[in-house]
Amino acid sequence: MSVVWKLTLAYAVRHPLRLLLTSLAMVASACMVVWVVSGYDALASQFAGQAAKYLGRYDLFVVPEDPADASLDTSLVEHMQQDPAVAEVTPVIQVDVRLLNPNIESDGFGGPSGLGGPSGRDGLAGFTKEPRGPGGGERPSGDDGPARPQAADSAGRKIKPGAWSGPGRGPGSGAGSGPGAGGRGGARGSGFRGFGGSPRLVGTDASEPPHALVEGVWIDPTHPELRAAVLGKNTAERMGFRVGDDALLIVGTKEFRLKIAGLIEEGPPQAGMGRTMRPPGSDKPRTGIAAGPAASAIYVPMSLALHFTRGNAKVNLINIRLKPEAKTQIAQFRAAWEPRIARTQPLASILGVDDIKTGIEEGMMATRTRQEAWGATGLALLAALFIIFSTLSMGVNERVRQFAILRAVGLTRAQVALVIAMEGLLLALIGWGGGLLAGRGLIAVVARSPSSLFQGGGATLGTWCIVLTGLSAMGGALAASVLPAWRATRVQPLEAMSPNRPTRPGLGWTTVLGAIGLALIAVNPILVYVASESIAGDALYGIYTAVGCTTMAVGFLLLTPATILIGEAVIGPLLARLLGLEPRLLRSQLGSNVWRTLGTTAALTVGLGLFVAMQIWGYSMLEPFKPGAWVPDALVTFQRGGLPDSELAAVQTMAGVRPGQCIPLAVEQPKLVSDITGSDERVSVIRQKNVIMIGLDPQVAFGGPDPLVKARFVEGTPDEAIAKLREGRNCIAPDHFLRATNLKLGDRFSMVPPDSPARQVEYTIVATVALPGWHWMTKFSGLRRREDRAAAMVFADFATVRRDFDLHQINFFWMNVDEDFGRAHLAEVQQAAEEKRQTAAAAGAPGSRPPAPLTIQAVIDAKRAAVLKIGEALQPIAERNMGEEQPVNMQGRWSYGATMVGSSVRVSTPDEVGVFIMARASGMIWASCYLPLITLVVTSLGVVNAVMASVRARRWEFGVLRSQGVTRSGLFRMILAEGLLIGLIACLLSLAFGVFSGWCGTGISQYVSFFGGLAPPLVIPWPQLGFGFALTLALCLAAALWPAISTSRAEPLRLLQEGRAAL
Amino acid sequence: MNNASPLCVEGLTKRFRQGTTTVEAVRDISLTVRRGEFVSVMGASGSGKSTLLHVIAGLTRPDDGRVLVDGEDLSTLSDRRLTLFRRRRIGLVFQAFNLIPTLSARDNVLLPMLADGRNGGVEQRVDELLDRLGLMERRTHRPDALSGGEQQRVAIARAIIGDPSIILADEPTGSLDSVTGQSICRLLRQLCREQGRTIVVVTHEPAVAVWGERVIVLKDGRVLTEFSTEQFRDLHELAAHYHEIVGLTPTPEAAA
Repeated sequence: MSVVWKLTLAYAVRHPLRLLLTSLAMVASACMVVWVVSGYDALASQFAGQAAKYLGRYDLFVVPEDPADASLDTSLVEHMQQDPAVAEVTPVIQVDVRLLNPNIESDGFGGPSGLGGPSGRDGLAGFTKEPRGPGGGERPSGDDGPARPQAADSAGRKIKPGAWSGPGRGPGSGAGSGPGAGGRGGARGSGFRGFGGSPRLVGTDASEPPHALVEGVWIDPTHPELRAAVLGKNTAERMGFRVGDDALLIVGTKEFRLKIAGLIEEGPPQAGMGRTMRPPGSDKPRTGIAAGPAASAIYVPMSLALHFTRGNAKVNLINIRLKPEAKTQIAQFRAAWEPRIARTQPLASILGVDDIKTGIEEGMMATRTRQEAWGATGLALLAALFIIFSTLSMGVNERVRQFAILRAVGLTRAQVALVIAMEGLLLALIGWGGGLLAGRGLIAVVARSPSSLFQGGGATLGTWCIVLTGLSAMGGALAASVLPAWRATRVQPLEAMSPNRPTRPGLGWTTVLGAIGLALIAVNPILVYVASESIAGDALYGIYTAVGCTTMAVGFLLLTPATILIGEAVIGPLLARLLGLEPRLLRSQLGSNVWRTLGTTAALTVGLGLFVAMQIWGYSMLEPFKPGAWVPDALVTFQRGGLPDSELAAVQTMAGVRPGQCIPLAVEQPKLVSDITGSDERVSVIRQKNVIMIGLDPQVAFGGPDPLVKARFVEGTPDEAIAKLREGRNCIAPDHFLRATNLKLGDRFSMVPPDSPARQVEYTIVATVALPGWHWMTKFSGLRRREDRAAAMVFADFATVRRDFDLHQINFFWMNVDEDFGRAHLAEVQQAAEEKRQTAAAAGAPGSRPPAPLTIQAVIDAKRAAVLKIGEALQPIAERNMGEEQPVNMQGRWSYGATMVGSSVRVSTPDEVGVFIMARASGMIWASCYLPLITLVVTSLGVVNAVMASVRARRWEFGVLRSQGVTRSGLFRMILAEGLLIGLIACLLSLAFGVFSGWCGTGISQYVSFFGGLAPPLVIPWPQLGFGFALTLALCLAAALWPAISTSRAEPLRLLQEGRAAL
Repeated sequence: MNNASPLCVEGLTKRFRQGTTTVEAVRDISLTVRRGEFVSVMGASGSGKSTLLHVIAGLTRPDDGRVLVDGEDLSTLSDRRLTLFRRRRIGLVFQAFNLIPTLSARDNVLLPMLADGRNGGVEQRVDELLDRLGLMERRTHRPDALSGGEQQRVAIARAIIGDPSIILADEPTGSLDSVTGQSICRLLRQLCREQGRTIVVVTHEPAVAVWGERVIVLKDGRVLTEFSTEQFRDLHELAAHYHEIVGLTPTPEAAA
């Protein structure tokens, strides 16, 4: 055995506990990689297996390429039928509709809730608890269908979560995995249906179903008068349909009754697949497989589908089945037809199983999981790096004399360095092997669960998984060995004769490193906030990730020694006083062994820093979406029919409506004539091709001391704006709209009224306002009448908007609620609760408790109850003015974010939207924090190591302290204080790292993210960060607990003797 | 300060386990030290003299017998009370100085005060002490910047800063050259004579023991004999006497 190995093993045997703890941390770290990467492998294998199922009995399909013109040249059908290889060519119409189950009591809308009904909050609770299906979007756009709690229909049938009535995933929904993840919107009709949404209406004259018939019969295309329809089995289960049931189909403003004749199997959802894509070299997005066969569908004969859509629907899918003998030559068939299909107008493309597999690979779920796999690998690598670095640094510190002796007896510097490198590799090998074994075991255990992702053969360790875990362990070990090995080689033989000295760093190099660190940290903000104007978006993002993030990470690492010394000097005395210790006794505990502390602190900062950064970035990005104080108490929408002017007074004088604080709105969502927001170049939440025009009474809205819309004027004054709005086609636009369009005050922009496409109207911007949260206020309220997204909410004069956009009836009201009315209802609520409690108490019901103290939520509920009471009072007015369903975006029908009162009146309150946003966004932000938190827990094992090493190295010192009169309790607190100090410095570093990363993250998001452009402020969510910091301190405290107990219990003489032996 | 002897040891026995065997490091030792007395405890390596000192200092507990310092039986004290007692009534000087490497000389001197949380008001006293011991210029230096003699003087300052009843020194010159060692011994002697401090020094060097008034000789964990240093004219006589005792006198076991 070589001397290097002998020394390596001897040291490992000498410190079995350290070896164990470091190995444990490495195993846990590698296990994390195994878990995430295996999850990706399992997911890919599941999807790949299902790719063929997607097409059912067909082999290929043709889809339109242009999402804006989703139709096909039907002459293709005739040409293809003549191909001898073809067995069947079926043209199909696929249309977005709304399907209701009339057999269920609920109409799918949340009823009035504030006083205990199926409230929006109930819906929220169900929503947040519901596990996401594959592809469950994680964007605040609410792409997922809302999953309501399980309910039962009138026949006692259980309805699966998600059996709601509104459309689910919407057209143009992005593919991001979080705010700013870069989703791409598509045009209406190109979207896909996910879990929980309404099925798509599929018109087909195929003689056989695309998938196996499960129950009932297939539709008969020759008898459309039967109004028979066939549903996908999963969709039927989810919505509570059985064969023979009636179904209510809403297409545009019309309702149609259908009879469910049969159920068929469904293909895998498209949720995990890529949607619109922008091919390389092309400036236009293409539909891709998302325009293929709908997974969740209600099938009807083609003629019936045309009837429902008033003949407007066009063939937008062609299914192709080849003859059995030609199935082996699909590629040749496709190659032969591709050139012809490429020449058709509108543009089309032919796709098959391979495209689906590619789509899966590029799909949202796969992409996100793949990103997580890389993220986990990166985190594990960093964790491994710092854990091993810390361990090796301890070894070098403790063995200075040993290395000096080795050098004195003739070992070369390379041999000494090799000893350190071998120790690192030994730890990495143990971590790698152990991590693979532990990960495999963990997956095997989890795979027993029927609902597990790993169920059914997914629980294997793929090559990808083995390589990535090895990469993280070995890469981390090698990188971690460099500095300790270098330090070991610097030991001079003469040092064998001198006692070990504390390795407290000199102020000089700490200052130099700190200064370099600060300079490197400054690179990213300069890049994002100063140089960004002169660099194109994509290039900026590349530089940001490659240069900005790297320099920032290195900068913080270089700043760590200075932070340790400063933190120790500042926090140490405070902590000492807090723990009843003499501050001087804590003065140099960390600084004396700065390398060890650096490794441990940096390891903790990997997880905690990322957690803090994600929280800060997430909540900062969220801020512009939270409804601001400018939003009136309630927006009331009449979704069916509309009110004539004669009904205005009836609404405005309704009890509870604040006198003079209720105005009708004329709302339309016209397209912009030109792409002034640059959405063709890059679509984003504010780079859209339409705006929401709000016609209102400018004086009531913006005038006087107590305006209805309390928007902050960024440019212009309310009085000037009111006067100009009254003059005609002038408008007030939000500030971000001007930033996105480069328009200035006094500039004009043109729009096309949706009902008069030949006409254009031009408005002049006379003022700009800040409107935080307008997106979400318009999202659920129904203000988005034509499109799912809009570039801005623009205010103009009521009469002008009505005239320009042909709005003859009134469908929207903004109002403030009378405070006395609200208070009265609050009292009613409390009294009702108290009466209920007293009744329950009188009946001896267990658990009857006194009323809970009034909370903010109770006030919100009471206010909402008052608003809903007004909504209920508006019912008679709605009833007598009932008419056709008004156009509205899909979220405008959802059962959360707003409340339906009856079938027409919809009430939105900023509180309700705010609560929804916070619940949804918090869930998303926390979901993205699980990897950093796991990393934090794993790296806390390094703290145990560091504290134990510190305690072992200082046993003699502790012995002296005990001999000089420091009590057991004092010693115990001293050691705990060391753990806490490491944690506190890690918190300090993480906070700084998180603030900078979050700040730069929000900055770069403005240029590249789908949710950018709103100039979010820097928000530091202290309660959430407090959780992370508390967890870190708790872990550090726990890490120091055993060393503290064991040391403080030892006899002073033992400490002195063992300490001397260790020297 | 009460009238009881500052140190009284009665029937002290201390055993250590070494693997499966038990070693009696100190066997049934009894001794008394008078107030203001400078006593040297001598013995060869392994004679039990350091163990005796550690037990007297309360760094470890005896298996049999008891130690009374100022009349207080240390074996009856809880660990906390024992610690506080040690902090306030016993001054310890070690062979290896045992200074805290991360604290300055001044803070090391202050250590018992810091532990006691009563460092306020003793600043002047510390400075006077450092000045007296010739350490004023070195007060801000850390131990690794001090010479051995300076470190031991800091250790002695630390031992007396709390005005203890007794100072226990374990081979205080063991790590020093002979000249520096002599200066340390002189210092201890001065403390005894000028301030009336009670000092017990453990040593195997006659050159150190000679500074005491009385010498107690240990062998194999027992008190072999004790004698006054006044009967010797010089160090050499004392050394010869010591070697004679240690070398010629058989242990009871050996005699048996």
